[in-house]
Amino acid sequence: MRKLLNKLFFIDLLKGMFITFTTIFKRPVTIRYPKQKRELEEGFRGRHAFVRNPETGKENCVACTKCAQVCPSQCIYIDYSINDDTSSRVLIKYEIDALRCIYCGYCEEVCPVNAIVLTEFYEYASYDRKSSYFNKETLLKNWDEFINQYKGEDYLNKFWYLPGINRERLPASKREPNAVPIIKKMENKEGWL
Amino acid sequence: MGQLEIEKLDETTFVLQMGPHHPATHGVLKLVCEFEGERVVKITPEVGFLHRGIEKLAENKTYPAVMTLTDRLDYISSMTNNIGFCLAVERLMGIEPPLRAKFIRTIVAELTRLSSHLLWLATHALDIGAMTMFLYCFREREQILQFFEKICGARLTVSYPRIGGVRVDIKEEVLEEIYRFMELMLKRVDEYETILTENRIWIARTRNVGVVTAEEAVSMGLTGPALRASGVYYDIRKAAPYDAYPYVEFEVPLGEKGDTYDRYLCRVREMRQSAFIIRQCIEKMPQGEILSSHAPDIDMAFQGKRKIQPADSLWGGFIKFTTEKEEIMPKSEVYSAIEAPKGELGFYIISDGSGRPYRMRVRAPSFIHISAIPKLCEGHLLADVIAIIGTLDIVMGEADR
Amino acid sequence: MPYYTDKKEVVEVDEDTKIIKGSNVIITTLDKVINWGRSNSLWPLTFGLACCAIEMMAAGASHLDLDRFGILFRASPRQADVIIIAGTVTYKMAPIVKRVYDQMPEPKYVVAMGSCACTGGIFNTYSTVQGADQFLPVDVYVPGCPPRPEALMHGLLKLQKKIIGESGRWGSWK
Repeated sequence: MRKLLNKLFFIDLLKGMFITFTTIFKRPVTIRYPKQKRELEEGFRGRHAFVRNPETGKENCVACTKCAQVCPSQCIYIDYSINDDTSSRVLIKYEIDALRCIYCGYCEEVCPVNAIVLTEFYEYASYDRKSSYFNKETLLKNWDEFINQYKGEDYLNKFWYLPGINRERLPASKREPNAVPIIKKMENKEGWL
Repeated sequence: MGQLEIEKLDETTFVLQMGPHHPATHGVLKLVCEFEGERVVKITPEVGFLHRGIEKLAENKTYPAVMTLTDRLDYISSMTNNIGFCLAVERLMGIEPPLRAKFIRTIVAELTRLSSHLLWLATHALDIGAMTMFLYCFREREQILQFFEKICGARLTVSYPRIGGVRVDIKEEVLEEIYRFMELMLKRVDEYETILTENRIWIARTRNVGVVTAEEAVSMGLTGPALRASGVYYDIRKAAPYDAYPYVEFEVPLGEKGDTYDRYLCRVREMRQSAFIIRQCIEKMPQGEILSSHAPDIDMAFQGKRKIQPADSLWGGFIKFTTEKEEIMPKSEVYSAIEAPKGELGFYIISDGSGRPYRMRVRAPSFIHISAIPKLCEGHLLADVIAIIGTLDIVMGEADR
Repeated sequence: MPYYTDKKEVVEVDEDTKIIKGSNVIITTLDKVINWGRSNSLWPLTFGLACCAIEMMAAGASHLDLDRFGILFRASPRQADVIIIAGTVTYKMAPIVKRVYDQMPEPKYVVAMGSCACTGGIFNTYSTVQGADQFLPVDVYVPGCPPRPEALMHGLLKLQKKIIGESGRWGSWK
């Protein structure tokens, strides 16, 4: 008897439609981009940038080429020369083809001096391929742009110090969470790039 | 036309190509269908439109770099692909991850199973005609992808598990949020069942469509929910447990007839069981390390031998000054399989002692399910072909590699 | 003829008579109206090939709605304006992409989404085309692997800006 009533009056369809009816009175979840933007979590792997050393104003990179060796899609191109007096490496050319990158984060994990970072920035679509082929100066400019819109005193990325992993496995400079202090308004300083 | 030609016209079938560019074929799959009236006579699938050479690429990269390649196999559930590969290499090397890493991996694998089944439900219902399920399921899926972003920084193609453990640790607040989300998820699964399970239109579209008996399913090589809906009790999480599955209790839903409706019920019930597993894992989570001490570094060398030029002023402590051959990998081969959301995902790795795999072969469930399409579609109408492709849960990134 | 230029060319027609090319008030008003109409109702073709297709679907779903911008996904190329190539293009699939692109009516635009469609990405192999711009004219490149849905929206907004800056891309005397 109940089954006959169910069949005649479409009870099963009405139960489903009741659920869709109650959605009218719930708050919509839509985010109105570009006026409202979602907050990115820390550690999001976005655009590449070179960290600007707060004392010297230049990059930290020592041209060890570890990032170029570990990159799975081989999109980092490095050229260096050897300074005769101190017999240390001097970085000449550092280029990243961001359109080939797969944003895995291995380069920032392996860098022993925490020179490169994948910042939390994702709005850099372009009309041609050249704008996404970063060289040394563009990477430093990316860092400046990111810092200008970053709210906080100092910046620390969790892939630099890898929380949870045994400290003896890591090289000496990666054991402590060393945050980079941020100094904004870099254009006013003289002698910097 | 003469009488003979008219008779011959009746014998030929009508050939229709559901080409690679089609909104309902879930990727690039070409089906050449022959119809007689509106009933299917024969179907010939053609694959290979997304063949990217993943297995060949893996022969030139070190094991940690191959993990970023395995992300892109079954791109909807990328954590389980990574876990399968890590498990295979760990069995090859003979190491085991610590206990906390096992629990974290199980939580992440079950979250991936939830998100994969949500996407399956969304696209399957959209193909059949129920369009609101697409919006509802994606609303929940966005929340799960937000959790992935909190854990490891990327939404879809994560490279979070590592050989010997996981990459970074999870904070306690994130675990509490996931716990609270599971209660909401159980309510939502009830809503999905109310909309679809007793709906007379849904039952009319999916009952007795694509029936597979138990013997046929086993002989065709189906695994996963497609096999369990026919009544065969085979789940790798119970048969050969890995990670933290021996420590949690859950049920494995079975079906009776093996048609599309039973496969739908199996997957929806699996979503509930996943929520229970995640809650148990979070309650039982131990403290400890997340990476085993024998695990290889992320910058593994290509060969066992390293030759370093001294007197470069590099910061010491991360390069070993040695010229001896280091045995990183043993020379052997291994096959190991896990229960991916689509079926049984297996990795067969041959290693020759160096830091690169000599051969990596992926046993993809979607490739084998595509070969079951012609048998399942015999005698059905054109609209049922779409429902059958949806219910077998095919992802072309896995089938073509 | 460049379709997307903001600066106007100065042409000397007679002695001491210089006019700015194409600056007729009727033509510029028509330009503005037509470009406004085209940019605010872009209809893309559903062309998801691989992983980036999932993020494209997520951009069209509830959290970030593409329908607010007037973007409706059409299944047939004869009714579409823009093709979003989301995923890896292989040598086996490339003639089909070209065929579908040829079936679209003018004016048409191409958005390359993700690493595999812009350059080959990580798949530098025997079977992958190294970028969709080997055989198609690409207008906007959206980087990421896969790019966030918001990044895809940002790319589409950039395409809208490009369309608004066009001039003279209508009529039969292109």
